[in-house]
Amino acid sequence: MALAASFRDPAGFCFALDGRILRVVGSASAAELEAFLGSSAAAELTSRHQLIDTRKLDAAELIQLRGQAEFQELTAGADPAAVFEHDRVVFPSYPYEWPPEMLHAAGMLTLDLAQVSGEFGLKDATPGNVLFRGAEPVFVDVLSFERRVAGDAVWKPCAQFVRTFLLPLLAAHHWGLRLADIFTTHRDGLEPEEVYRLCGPVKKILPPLLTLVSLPVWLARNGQRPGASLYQTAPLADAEKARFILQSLFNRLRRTLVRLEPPAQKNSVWSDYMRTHSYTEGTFAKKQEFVRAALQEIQPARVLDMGANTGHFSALAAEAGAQVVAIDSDAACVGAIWRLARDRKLNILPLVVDIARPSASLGWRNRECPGFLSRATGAFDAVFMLAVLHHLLVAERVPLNEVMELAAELTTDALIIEFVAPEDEMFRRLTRGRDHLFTGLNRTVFETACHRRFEIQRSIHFADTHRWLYLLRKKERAR
Amino acid sequence: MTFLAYIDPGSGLLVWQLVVAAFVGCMFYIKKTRDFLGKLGRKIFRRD
Repeated sequence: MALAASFRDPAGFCFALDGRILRVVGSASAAELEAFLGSSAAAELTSRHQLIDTRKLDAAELIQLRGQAEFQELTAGADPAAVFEHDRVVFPSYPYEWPPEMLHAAGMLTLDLAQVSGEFGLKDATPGNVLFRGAEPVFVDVLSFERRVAGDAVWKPCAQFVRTFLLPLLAAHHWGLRLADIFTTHRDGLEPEEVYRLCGPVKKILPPLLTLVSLPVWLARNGQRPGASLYQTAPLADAEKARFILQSLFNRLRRTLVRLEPPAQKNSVWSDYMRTHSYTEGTFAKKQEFVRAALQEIQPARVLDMGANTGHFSALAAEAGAQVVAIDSDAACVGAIWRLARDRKLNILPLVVDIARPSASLGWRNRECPGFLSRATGAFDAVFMLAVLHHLLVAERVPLNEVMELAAELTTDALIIEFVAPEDEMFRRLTRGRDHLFTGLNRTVFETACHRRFEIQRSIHFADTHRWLYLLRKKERAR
Repeated sequence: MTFLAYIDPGSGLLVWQLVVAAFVGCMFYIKKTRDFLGKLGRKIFRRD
């Protein structure tokens, strides 16, 4: 499958073949890429896990690849001077699925790379060049590096950096705009003109909006229409002066980015759930023990935690050795998971995904960024649905069988699911007086729905509650 | 009234980068002069 988002760069493109991520590079760029990958800067960045591990395929491997019909089809019409293989990032994610914390981390990484890559610089600066391995960002687009022109004091991708990192973070900070709302409709971020319209008269003249938004808008509006010459490189005679100017630009961008770091304590509807949930200390400990024992039994390599809240159970799974993808619709909760994973070095990839409205396939011909479900289907050997089923049944009005069908598509083996009966206080609060819609729902009905695709391994009832926790295994699982 | 069929959106960011670069370029010479004078001063005082 040709990888999305890789067709824009004429220098080369990426595709997945037999589970490998390959990059075909044309003759015009192969030598430059090899020079970069052979540089000490690239070696250092790779060893720090900031740059994706990349190796050039040797002649024998290339001959073998060229013999494959699929390779021939994928590279038809291209000029493959060299083929490189990248480390595979297990679960790709996109900026519209990130909380602001992750966009901020991706921005920091981009600036680090732009600043410390020796004689090489970045020719573009977009979050599309970054993926996450757990909570750690990694730069994947090795073709973004180009040799710097000595004496060039202008960093052309600066405007793109502002549009795709600083302005979305600014909009999230000042107006609470969600990154999903920005990046699903704006591939290249926000223009200063769009943010300017949101600003009140006072905000317009206060930093950082003054320099990031207002001044660029006034300059574009009142100045001469810029000609193409504006974008042409005009190196300075004094290379030291150019370096000084560039360094000062990077320092300013870094200071602004630091200023836009999302605060650690953000309140939202669900961010306090771990303190205010319906469990007593004892029942919560039992729930935790059940999940821990199930993890020990299943030993999953990959876990999807649906409705992860602040990531308590994701952390249990990660500590048990699983690679976890934790999803929740609340960006503040997902931000908290990211901090938890980063601080405790847990292998958790937290994403802002509402499972009732998962991110769709986007971009050119809807093929640039595959939707969440197409990436997640069959990608996990255990799925957690803890205190989430009743939200889907009540708030989203999704039929029970549909929920179980989705769970069976996502997991290849186990499902740990909590059943909350209509008598439960939270369930009743969610129904908002429409209790009659759920009169037929009880444990027997739930278990019958489970039996369609799963076997019930065991369950536990939490005393004095209307809640049960189940460990299910898929009937047709690979044994 | 002038109607502009197309105004390059975001070009202001590049214009602003160039304006600041020109200012920082001047700062470069100020810094160099300051460094030179500092060096000279240290040399003179060391001789004394």
